[in-house]
Amino acid sequence: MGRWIGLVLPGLPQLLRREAFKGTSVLLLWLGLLVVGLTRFDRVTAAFDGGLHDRVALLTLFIGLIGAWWWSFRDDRSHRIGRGEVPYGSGAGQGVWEAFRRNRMAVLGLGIILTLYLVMLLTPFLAPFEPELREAYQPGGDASRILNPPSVRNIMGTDQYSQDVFSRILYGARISLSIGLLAVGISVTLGGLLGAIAGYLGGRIDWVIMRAVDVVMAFPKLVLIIVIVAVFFPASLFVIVVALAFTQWPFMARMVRGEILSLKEREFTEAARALGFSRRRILFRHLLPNAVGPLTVVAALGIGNAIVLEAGLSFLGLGVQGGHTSWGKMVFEGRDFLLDEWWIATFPGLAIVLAVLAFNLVGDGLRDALDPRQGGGAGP
Amino acid sequence: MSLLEIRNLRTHLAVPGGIARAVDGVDLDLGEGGTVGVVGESGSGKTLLALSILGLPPGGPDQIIDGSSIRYRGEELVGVGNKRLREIRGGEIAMIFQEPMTSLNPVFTVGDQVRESVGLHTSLRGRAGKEEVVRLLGEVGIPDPSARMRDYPHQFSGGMRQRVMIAMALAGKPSLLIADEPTTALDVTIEAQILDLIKETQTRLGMGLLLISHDLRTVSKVCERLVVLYAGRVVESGPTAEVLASPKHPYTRGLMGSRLSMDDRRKSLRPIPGEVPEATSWPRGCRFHPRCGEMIPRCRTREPDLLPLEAAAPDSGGAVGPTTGVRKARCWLLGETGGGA
Repeated sequence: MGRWIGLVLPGLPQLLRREAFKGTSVLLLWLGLLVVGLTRFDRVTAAFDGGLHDRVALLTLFIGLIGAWWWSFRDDRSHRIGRGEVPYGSGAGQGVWEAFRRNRMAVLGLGIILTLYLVMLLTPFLAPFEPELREAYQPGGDASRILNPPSVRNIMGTDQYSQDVFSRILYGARISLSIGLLAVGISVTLGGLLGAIAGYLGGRIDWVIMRAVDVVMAFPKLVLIIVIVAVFFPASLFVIVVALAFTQWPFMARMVRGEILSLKEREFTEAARALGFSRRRILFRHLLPNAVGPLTVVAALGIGNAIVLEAGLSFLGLGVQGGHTSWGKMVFEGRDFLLDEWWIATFPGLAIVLAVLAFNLVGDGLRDALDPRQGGGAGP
Repeated sequence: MSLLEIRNLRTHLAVPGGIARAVDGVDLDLGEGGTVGVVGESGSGKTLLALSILGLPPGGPDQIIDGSSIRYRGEELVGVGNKRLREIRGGEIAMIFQEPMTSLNPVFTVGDQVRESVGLHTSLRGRAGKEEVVRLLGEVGIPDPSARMRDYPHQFSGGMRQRVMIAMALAGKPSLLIADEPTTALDVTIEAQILDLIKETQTRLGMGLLLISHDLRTVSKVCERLVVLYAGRVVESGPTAEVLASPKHPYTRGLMGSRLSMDDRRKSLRPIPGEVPEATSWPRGCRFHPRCGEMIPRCRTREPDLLPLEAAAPDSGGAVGPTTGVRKARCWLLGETGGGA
């Protein structure tokens, strides 16, 4: 019975079993994607011949739908078969995840982040207008479309070029959210690697790497980024990502170095050496995986940080140039209208706040969950 | 040719406050398939001795002083290249450690860790590798190994983890197993099981065994020969039964007096007063003299040599094989030549 419900409404069987968390998230995902797919059916079909973004959105839609359905089905089945035992997932990460889940704010943050990225991927289906559609400037355009307050037609109003603010926020998420992710991705890789090498090898190599870290950290972040961006002005997306990553890697390096320093004194390191494993293998296969937990915390907080920095950069007019928009750039463009036409700058500003808040909540939640002294995550 | 032949091994560590001469001229012999126990208090250099054999003293192999010699089946290990040392570690000489709680990597499953060891020292990959892991885990007494190999170390008890460590050590089919206080962190009941397992495995595979312990009783259960270490030096060595029956060095007698025995309940504990001195400044003369109850003036000024005793029972001389060897002790009380006890 439950199985057949699950085929139509994935998540409902889990919900009926009072697994509220799993159930609601899967059900919401399924219903949301279904609504998007049905109400925007014309765009979905058109997307088959569309550009890259259209195809990505299409792929997201299908993977999401099939994923939700498949997961619910499998979960339901394993639940019936393995009654009374844990069918999967009793690993070392289990305790962390349990502690994380007990922290409601962190779970809320994770939900916001996942929703934001889902929306970002589905933007071509969701946005009511093209981001650069200036209706007032079209041949035979309607001049009254300029600076409209929020209404049913433009739920977040229009800006001075008659562009729809809501649609621009959706498209701007691409730049803002992916910059954060890319910058932190690069800085985690670079900083993690250098920190691990410094911590494990020690001596002169450690000294050189850590002095480089000190030098970079001695500069105020924003000043350093502005200098790099100004040198390469007009800066491409790539330059901005690299500039952001460059200011962040020292923090990752420091953290990982500290972790490795303490891990390499642990007995399993000695045991690995006594069993004949090479130094490289011990560092990358045995020690680094142990540092992944703390690294995730710094990374989550770092993404929020990078989003703010990019917004600041865009606000100063040094952000991504060309046709791209980002949340920071939208705030920049709306600054002259802040008092009367408040919606132009406020909504993108709120989007920044929401994203950064979500990443910080997740970062804090992870830190609490990973901290053994707090007995696994006391909520706020 | 003996399996392991250590001559004048000196490992000195640079520590704040000087040079710690933690292992300072140790001789040790171990025949093929033989068992030797190394006994001493904390700070006597037992663990460092074991790590030195593998070329793993904490500050790098440079800390083994020139003139030291460690021969494994005739091959000199002191000064040998890193690549060869890595082949020897795990492949020829394997080691298990004191703390089974922390000797396994917490983020990988037990099966993965044994498998990595299998992959490093054998050509078994894929399915065969997995089967080997199951076989090894079964061999060391893990029940239902094919299911438990998917568990993480924290899901195992201390004794079970030590069994896993032994399985990892056996993966490379070593000819010599060094066990550094393998049962110290375990319950007494588990201790007996693990010792039995080590002994049984050693006999079955014909490995040599170097068992390090602070506990004479542990060693006497398993080892044919005994080496008593004090302050980085061997103070007495010989066949276990003979040493325990008539300990020649006051320190050995002290060690025996500081343990409780079920048999002689009326005997009170007689602990050795004081503790092992700092390795940066060993006492002049005999290194044990400040704690020795039988000190004579000469002990303060000159250090006695480790000399062979006269065979206790001449008629058993023929039975003394390469694995047991002669008895030696380092004490002035035994006379100038060492033989006149």
